[in-house]
Amino acid sequence: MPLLTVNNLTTAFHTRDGVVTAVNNLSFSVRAGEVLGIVGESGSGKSVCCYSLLGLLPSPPAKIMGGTALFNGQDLLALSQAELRQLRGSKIGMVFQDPMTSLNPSMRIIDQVAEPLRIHFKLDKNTARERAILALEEVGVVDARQRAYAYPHEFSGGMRQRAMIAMALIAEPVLLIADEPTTALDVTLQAQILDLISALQKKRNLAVILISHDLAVVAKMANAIVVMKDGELVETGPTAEILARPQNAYTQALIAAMPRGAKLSATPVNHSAAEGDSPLLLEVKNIYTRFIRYGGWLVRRKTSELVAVNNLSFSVSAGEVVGIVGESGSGKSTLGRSILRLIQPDSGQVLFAGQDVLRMTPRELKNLRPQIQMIFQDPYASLDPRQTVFDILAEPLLLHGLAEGETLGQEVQTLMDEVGLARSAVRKYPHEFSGGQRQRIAIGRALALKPKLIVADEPVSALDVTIQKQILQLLQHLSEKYQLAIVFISHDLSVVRKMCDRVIVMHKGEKVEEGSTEEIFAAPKHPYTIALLSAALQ
Amino acid sequence: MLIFLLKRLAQAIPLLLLVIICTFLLVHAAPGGPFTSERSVPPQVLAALNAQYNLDLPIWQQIGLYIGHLLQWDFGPSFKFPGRSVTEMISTGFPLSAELSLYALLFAVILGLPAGILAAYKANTGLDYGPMTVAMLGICLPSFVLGPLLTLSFGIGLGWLPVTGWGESSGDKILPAITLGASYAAYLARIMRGSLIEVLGQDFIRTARAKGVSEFAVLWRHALRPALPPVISFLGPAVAGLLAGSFVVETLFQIPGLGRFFIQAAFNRDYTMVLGTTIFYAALIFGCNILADLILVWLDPRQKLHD
Repeated sequence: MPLLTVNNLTTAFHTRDGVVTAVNNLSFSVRAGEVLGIVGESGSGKSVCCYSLLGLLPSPPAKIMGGTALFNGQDLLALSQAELRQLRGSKIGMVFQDPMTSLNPSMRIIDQVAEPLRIHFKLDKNTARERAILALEEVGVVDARQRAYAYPHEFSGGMRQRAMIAMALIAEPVLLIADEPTTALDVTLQAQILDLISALQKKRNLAVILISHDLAVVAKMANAIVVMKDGELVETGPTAEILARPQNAYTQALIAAMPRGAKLSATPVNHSAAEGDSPLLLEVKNIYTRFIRYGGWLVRRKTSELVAVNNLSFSVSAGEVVGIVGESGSGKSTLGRSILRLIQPDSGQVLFAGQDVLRMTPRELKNLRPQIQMIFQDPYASLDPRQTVFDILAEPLLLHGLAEGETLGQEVQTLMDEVGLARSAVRKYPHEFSGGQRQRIAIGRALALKPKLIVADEPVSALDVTIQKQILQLLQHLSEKYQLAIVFISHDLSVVRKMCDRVIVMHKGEKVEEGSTEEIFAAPKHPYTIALLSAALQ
Repeated sequence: MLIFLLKRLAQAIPLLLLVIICTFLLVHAAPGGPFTSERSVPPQVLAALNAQYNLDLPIWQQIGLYIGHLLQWDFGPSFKFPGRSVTEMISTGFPLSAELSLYALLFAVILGLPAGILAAYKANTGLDYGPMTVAMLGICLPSFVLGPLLTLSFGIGLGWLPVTGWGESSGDKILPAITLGASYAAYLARIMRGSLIEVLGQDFIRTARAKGVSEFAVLWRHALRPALPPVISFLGPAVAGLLAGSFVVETLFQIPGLGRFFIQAAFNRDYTMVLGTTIFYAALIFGCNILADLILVWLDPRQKLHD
């Protein structure tokens, strides 16, 4: 008998604009010792479905409209909050996406991990703390006995997620729900955390529901898969079967977008700008950027120093797409910002069309700005929420006196066509768009001044896979059409592989390897590159 | 911790010095002087008075002399009340003002924080709108309106409470404390509500609920501490504001506190008295802010004690 059987679950949100059905007639089941993967894009209802089961959705506006969810013979949907509370954390554990925001910043790790024991087994503080230390040791926190007393901000991302897992499992639940447990982590950490969940699952014969937008993650872990789209189940079945013979077109698209070893033997990059025949556009020589923290009283003095970019050189030809790959903290964003002089490097040269950007006067720099533009990771955070799309796109044109009056309106419309936005949306504000559309706005803003070079810092990391693909295609198209050079910064190897002509691998502020995309992916030389590749592709 | 405290205290010294010099120059720049009155005083007498209080010296020497006395904990004699020293007047007036402020603060915290917590927890329901409407009224009503209103209704109308004095008849401290504390209670309630609503929307609150934490414990153990920093940031300067701003209430209810001395001194051009109270208040404000900073660091472990 399955441990959990969900039948016809329907959850809706009652908003001012009417009723939005987030989960529609969803049915699935999980057995003890089985891993069920739920895959879908953000907004597909995969998280809402699990929160519905545990009564974790704020009500109002959320309301469960129908269905049953039998867990050990009890219908979860019929239980009161008090009864559900008995199950949460004791029989059913949960791990959330972002361990930084999902852990209480002002409570010691040990007390957060111990809390389920205090609540459900009424253990006294010291006994619970002892057990928490053991749990932290089990999930691989080194020196758990000392480190357990730290606060979440004193832990690294991977360690925080380990603590989160320890907390979810400390009361020995029979079902673990993991909601995007590795999405906020670097690739090498992702693999470690997935291995950890897998090991614990086998050891305890846990049932696991693994929610992810990343089919690769689910494919690695799950026995069976549920594919969701727009609140509905599109396809379900054993993992091997779904991967080998997807029936639904959406599932096929998801699988096609998946970075896998098999796909990597193909050559997705179109080398329109082969090295040699294009003029050199950007030359970065021996860039050295460090961050210095100051402290002290009355007299400022240096308290610590971090070298973010260490003597790094590379060049970009016109129309070339160069990828800069590395984990977070490798200095790749700092490098991108140094090129635009948004951060002033301590030494080195950035030659753009022969001129040194780092030694320009403010006036020269202003004249340069139209030629180098930047796209940021989070289009929501980097667009002014109080400007309409028109304002956003028109501002750079006005600033540099490139258009006014009627021509301004025309320019803006051309831009919107160019990046694939409906002209009618020109008066809308950023929050009225989806993530992908927002990134289109950001690209339009960068494109407005007809730059020769765009520095794109993780432009698709905040987007779903299918949207990612569209945005990458747009960038590729624009690069070819306008001979636009792109410095493409990303931690995601599959994305870089699709986009870039050349790849530079960064580690701790240094360039560890550089080469054509094919070379790097087919025959990586540096151990770090090899580690990065194997972590991403297993 | 100790180093942080010492640093902050050391930083206060140049600031206090600046306060002294500015106040000194300002009161001297104002027209008139402590011995100006309707009756003309013979010039010889005036000169003698000025000489006695060193007012005939260049202003920089006066400042120097004043600071010299200050270092010996001597705030100087009062110009307007011969025979009484400023130190003595502060030490008789301050305890009354401090007591009044303390009661007002207690009233504000005991009423304001629970109201804000309740409003946040029941956000967008009657239990939110009700207290918040009252709070808005409390902010809008200045104490010189609220005071007489309370006096009229509870003192004269119902006859429950005495309307003047301080410690003379039972219950005479209630109305002044409420009058002074009301707007602070209102501010506290609104800040508490806003901050708590924000914290309750955070991911770690969902985590706590997923662990099976009861709603009361979610509020008490998980949400309250991260929600308090804005409240403390407000309370630090507010405590100083209560102490310094009590003169309206002291005047209304005939309480011989420090606030009244302060205002009278300014009208009388009682130089030493103005300086003494200003410096005293400035030191209090520094103290309250340092205390607030310490509490903030304790509340949020991500904050570090530096600068």
